[in-house]
Amino acid sequence: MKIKLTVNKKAHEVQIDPGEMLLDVLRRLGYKSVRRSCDSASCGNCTVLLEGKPILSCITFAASVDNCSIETVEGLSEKEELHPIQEAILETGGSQCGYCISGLTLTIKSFLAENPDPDDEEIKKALVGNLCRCTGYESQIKAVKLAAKKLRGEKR
Amino acid sequence: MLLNVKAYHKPRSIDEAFNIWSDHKDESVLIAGGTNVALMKSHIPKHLIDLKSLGLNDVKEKGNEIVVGAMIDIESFRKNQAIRKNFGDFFFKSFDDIASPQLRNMITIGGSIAAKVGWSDVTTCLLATESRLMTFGINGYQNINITEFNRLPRDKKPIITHIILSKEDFIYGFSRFTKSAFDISLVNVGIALKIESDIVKRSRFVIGSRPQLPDRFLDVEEGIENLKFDDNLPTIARNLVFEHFTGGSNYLASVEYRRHLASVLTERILTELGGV
Amino acid sequence: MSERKKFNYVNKNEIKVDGPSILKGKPVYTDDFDFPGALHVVLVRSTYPHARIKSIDKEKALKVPGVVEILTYEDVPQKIFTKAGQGYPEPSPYDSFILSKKVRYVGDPVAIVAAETVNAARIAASKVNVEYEKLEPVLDFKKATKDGAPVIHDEEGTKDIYDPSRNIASHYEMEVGNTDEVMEKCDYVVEKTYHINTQLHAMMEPHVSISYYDANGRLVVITSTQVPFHTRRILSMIFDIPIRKIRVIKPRIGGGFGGKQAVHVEPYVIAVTLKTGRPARMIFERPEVSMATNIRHEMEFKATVGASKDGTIKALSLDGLSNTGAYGEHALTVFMVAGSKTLPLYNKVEAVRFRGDVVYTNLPPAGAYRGYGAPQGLFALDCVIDELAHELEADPLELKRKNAIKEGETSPIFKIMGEGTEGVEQIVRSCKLDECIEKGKKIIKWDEKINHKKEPGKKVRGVGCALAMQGSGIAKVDMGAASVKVNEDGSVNLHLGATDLGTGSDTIMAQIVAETLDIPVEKVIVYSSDTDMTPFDVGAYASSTTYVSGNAVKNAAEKLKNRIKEKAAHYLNTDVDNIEVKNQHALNKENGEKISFSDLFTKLFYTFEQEQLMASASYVGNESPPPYLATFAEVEVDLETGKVDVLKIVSVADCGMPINPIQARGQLEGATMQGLGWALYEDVKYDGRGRMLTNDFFTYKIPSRMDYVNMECYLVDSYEPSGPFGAKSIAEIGIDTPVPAIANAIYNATGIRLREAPFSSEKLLMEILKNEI
Repeated sequence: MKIKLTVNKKAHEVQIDPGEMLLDVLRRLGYKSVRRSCDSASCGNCTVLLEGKPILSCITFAASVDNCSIETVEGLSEKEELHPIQEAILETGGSQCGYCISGLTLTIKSFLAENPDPDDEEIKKALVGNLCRCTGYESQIKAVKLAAKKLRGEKR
Repeated sequence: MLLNVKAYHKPRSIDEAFNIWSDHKDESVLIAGGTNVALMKSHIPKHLIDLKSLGLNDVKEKGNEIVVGAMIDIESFRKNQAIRKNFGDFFFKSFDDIASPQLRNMITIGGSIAAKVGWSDVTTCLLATESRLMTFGINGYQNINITEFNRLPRDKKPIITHIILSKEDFIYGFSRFTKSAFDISLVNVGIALKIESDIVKRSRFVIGSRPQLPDRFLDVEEGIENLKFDDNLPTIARNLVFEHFTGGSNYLASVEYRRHLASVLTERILTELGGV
Repeated sequence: MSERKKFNYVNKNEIKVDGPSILKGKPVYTDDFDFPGALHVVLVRSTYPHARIKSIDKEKALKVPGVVEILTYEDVPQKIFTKAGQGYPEPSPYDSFILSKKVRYVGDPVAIVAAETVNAARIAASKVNVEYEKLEPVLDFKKATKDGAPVIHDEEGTKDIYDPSRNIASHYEMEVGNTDEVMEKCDYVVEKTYHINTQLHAMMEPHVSISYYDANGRLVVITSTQVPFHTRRILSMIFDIPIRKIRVIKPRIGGGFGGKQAVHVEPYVIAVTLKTGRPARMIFERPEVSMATNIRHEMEFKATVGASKDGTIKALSLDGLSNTGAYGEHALTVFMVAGSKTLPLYNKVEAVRFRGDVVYTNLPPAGAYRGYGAPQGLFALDCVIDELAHELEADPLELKRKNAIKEGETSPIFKIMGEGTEGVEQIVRSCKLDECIEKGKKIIKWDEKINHKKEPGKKVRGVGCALAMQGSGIAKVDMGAASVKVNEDGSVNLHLGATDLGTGSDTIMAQIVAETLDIPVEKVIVYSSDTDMTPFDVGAYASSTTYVSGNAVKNAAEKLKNRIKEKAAHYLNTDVDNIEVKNQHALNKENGEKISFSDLFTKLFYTFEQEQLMASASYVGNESPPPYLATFAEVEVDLETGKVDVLKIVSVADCGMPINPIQARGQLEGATMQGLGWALYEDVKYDGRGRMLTNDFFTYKIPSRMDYVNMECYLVDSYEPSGPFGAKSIAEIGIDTPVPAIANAIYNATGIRLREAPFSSEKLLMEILKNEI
C-alpha cells in the first residue's frame, strides 16, 4: 500500500508493506539516524517526533501515520550546522558510541520546548525512556542543562 | 514482528471495524496504540485493523459519568482537566510513573485493557474506580464491566469503544513496586475508599501484576467495612492483604515476596490517604 | 608534577572527531550501509541445551518465496577454532565450529538461511525442521565436574581443553610462599564464599556484519567488532582463505564492552557470500545478542584472608570456580585476571594463593566483558577484607588503604600471572590511590557516616568502599602500530589499527599527534581499523588502547617530527639542532627564520627535495601500569521491601594524565553505572531447560536515568612515566568496584552481609526478616 509521510518538512510518497514498522520505512527512505536496538519498546533509541511528540518508531506501524508529520535528527542540522542541543551534547561528552543519541536528541528537543528551564529530577524523568549504556547519564544531564541555557539565549 | 501482514485496514465506523474483524476472525488483530501488537512475533495475523482512525479519543462529561474514548493515550488522559477535577491526582500521578514519555504517548486506555496483561497499572486503576466499558459487538453496543470483558472468549469478544467512569465520592490511592524505575510493576495496588463520618463505608482493593491480572480482593474489603478511618486502619488492612493475597511466582518475584509487598504497599497507601 | 608542562592539545577536552557526524545522524554504523542485492541472513538456532543433530529437513523452508540458500554443518568447513579475539596462538581452548553436529546451549546455531528479504529468511528459518537426539544438560556450574555429568565437548580435534571428560575447560593455580602455614600463625583468619552471577553487555548496537566480494574478488567484511585484525586471521583460518584475500573494516560501532571481542556474526555471512557470490548481511535481534554471543563469566570464590591484630594482612587465598558456558573463548584468561588484577593490590602479604577451575555448562558461552575477571575476583577479595575489618573493629577503608600497594613497590604476581601464561615483572611507577581515597572519602563524608548510630525507622542508610587496580594492555604481548603522512595544507593523515568503539580513541590519538607536532587537532585526519589501510593493532581490549596504541602513535609522530626538522634544516640552511617545531611552523631558533608546514610540505611534494614525509611505529608495552580506583557508595535500604537505593556513588581514579579529561571521566562514569546495574538491577534468569528468559531490555533491566540519585566521578592528578604524555588506562577499572562497595554499604546500613550478587531486593528482604531488623 502507499502512504504519504512528511519527514523534516519534506513530502514523501512511499510504497510499504502493510505490516511494516515506521522505523524500517524511515531507514529505507534514507533516514539512517533512526536506529533499531531492542525491538521491545524498551530502549528509546528509535525515538522520532510525531507531530512534535516523542514516540517509538520500532513499534509504530507505518500505515498508522499516513499523512502525518515526522521529525528525525537529520532535520535539525540541515545546513550542516549543529543544533544547540547537538552542540551541548558534544561539549559535555554526552555522546560516546552515539547509538542512543538520535533518539535522545529528539526527546530532549520536545522536552525543552515544554520545559525550558528544567532541574535534574525533571530531566531524568523526561528522558527515562532513552537508555544509554556508555555514558552513565551524568554528562547527558549536563548536556540538557547546557542546551537549555543555549536555547534561552544565555549561552552561545 | 508480524511477518505476513497482507492488509492494514482503517475503518471509518465501528460497524465497519467489527465486520472486518469478524470476517477474518483468526487472522486479524485490532490495533489501538499498537504497542502490544507490534511486539507480537508471529506470521499468523494477516489483517491489521486500526481503531485509531475511528477518532474515539475524547473525554466528555455526561451528568454523573465521564465517557472516555478508548483510543485516548494515557498521557492525554491523565492530563485531562475533567479527569483531574473529578479524580484529583489519582490518574495524574499514577499514570505518570508508567513506562516512559514515549510509551505514554502511544499506550491507549482501551488497548491496555484489551491486551489482558497482568502487569497493567492502567487496569488496576480502572478497577479501583470501578470503571465500566462501552463495547461494540455482535449485539451492538453494550455496557459491561472489565471483569466480564476479560472472561469472554475470543470469538465472543467485542471492541471496546469507551471507558465510563462514575463521578463518586471516593478517595483513591495507587502504588507500585518495580525493580528499575523504567520497568513493569512487580506488583501494584489500587485502593478506593468511601468515607462517611470517619467510617469506611465501602472500599475497593485491587492488586495487580500478581503476576496475574488485577483483581478485587473482597475479603479485604469486607474486613475493613465499617471500621474507623484512623491510624490503625493501615495496619489492619495490611494484615488482611497478607492473609488473603493470591498470586504466583515468575522470573520477577516469588509469590511470597509479592504477598509481602502488596501488604506493605497497602499500608503505605492508606497511611498517605489518612494524612491528607 | 615536574614532568607536567602546559599542553596545547592533550589533557584538553577536545570535541570528538567523529562527534558531529554521529550527532547529525549520518549513516556511519554497519547497518546504515545499503547494499542493493544483498542477501539477508538469519540463523536457525537450537531450542535444546544439549543435543546431537540427527537430521535437518530444509524442504519446506526452501519453498518459501525469496529463499536462496540454506546451509548446515555439511556445507561449511569443519575447522575447529576459538571465537576469542586474542593474539595468536590464542590462550583459549579450540572447541568451536562454524556449525557443529552437536548443540550445546539454547541458541547454538544450527543452520544458516539466506533470502532476498529479512521476512522471508525469518519465515523460512521457522520452517527448517531439525530432529535432535536430546542429551542430559549441565545447567549448574557447580555440578559440571560431578561424576557421571554429561560430557559437553566430546568431539575429536579439540585443543587445550584441560580435561574434557570432566568438563574442565581450563585450570590454574599459583602460590607465593606457603599460604596455609602463614594463615595458621595469623591472629585473625576470615574465610567466606562469594558468588557473583553473570551479566549481559547490553550494548546499544546489536551485532551486525556485511560481507561481499569486491571487484578484485577479495572478500570484504564490514563488521561491528572490537578486533578487526584477529577477525581477519580467524576467518582466514576457518575458511582456508589466504589472509591477503580478506579485508576487514570496522566503521563506527555502537558499543561493545567486550561483547564484540570475538567472532560472532562474520562466519555466517561469509559462508553465504562464498556459496552464492552475493553480498550477505545479518544483524542480530536483541534476544540473539543476549543469548547467543557472549555473557560474563559467573564465578564463585572461597576467599581467605589472614591478618595480625594490628591489621597487617599476611596471607590471601582465592579458590575459584568459573562458568564458561558452552564454549571456552576467554576461559583461562578471564579466570586468571580475577587474581592477577586484584591480588597485587595487597602486596605486603607473606603468602598468596590463587587457583581454580573453569568449567563448561550448557548455558550461553561466557567471554570477554569489561573488567575481564577482575570485578568477580574483587567482589570476593574486597568483601572478605571488609569482613576482616569488622572482626578487627577497624575502619575498612583504613585497613584496605594501609595494606594497599604504593608507588615504587611491586608484587611477585606481576611476574607470575600474565595472559594465560607467565607475566612480566614491573614496578609501580605511578600510584595515586591515596589521593583517590582522600578525595572520595571527603565527598561521601566517610568519617561522619561509617560509624553512624542506627536510627529507628523503615529506611536505613550506610556507606561502603572498595579499592581497585587494573592494567594498561598486556605487557610484552599486545602490539599496536600507527603511521602518519603529511599533506600540502599542513595536515597529517593518521592511520592506526586501534579500535574506537565509542570510547573516543580516534580523538585522543589525534590529540597525541597534534601535541607532538604542535598542530591543531582539526589538522589530524584519523582513519582506523581497516586491515587493508591501517597498520596492525590487537584491538580494543585489556585497556590497551591509550597506553599501547597511544605510545605507537606518539612514537610515529615523533619520528615524523624529526623528518620535518631534517627537511626544514635543509630548507632554512642550518643545523637540524637549531630547528624548533612550533605552532604549525618549523623555525630556526638562532635567527627566527621560519617556514610554515603548509609551505614546506607543498614544496616537498613538488619542488624541493621531493619526498612524501611519513613515519610509522609499533609499540609493545614492557609493563602494564595499573590505574587505581577508590569507590564509595552510600545506600538507603527500605527495610520493609528490601529495595536498595544508591543515594550517592563516588569513584575517584588515577589514570595517569588523561589525554581527554571529559572522555576519560566518561569512561569512568559509564563503567560505574554498569557496575551499579550489575549489583542491583541486572539479573540474568534461565528457565528449567537452560533457555535465557531475560534476553531483551523488557526483562533485563540496565539502569535507567532514575535508578540512582547521585554519581560523581573524578580523576586525580597523576603521571605515568612510561605512558604517552603520562597516560595510563581508564576504560575497564570503573566496573570493578561498585559491586563490593554496595555490598559493603548494605552491610553498614543493615548488618546484613550479602555474599551473592546481584543483590535482589527479594533476597535482601528475606535476610532482613530472618534477622528481625
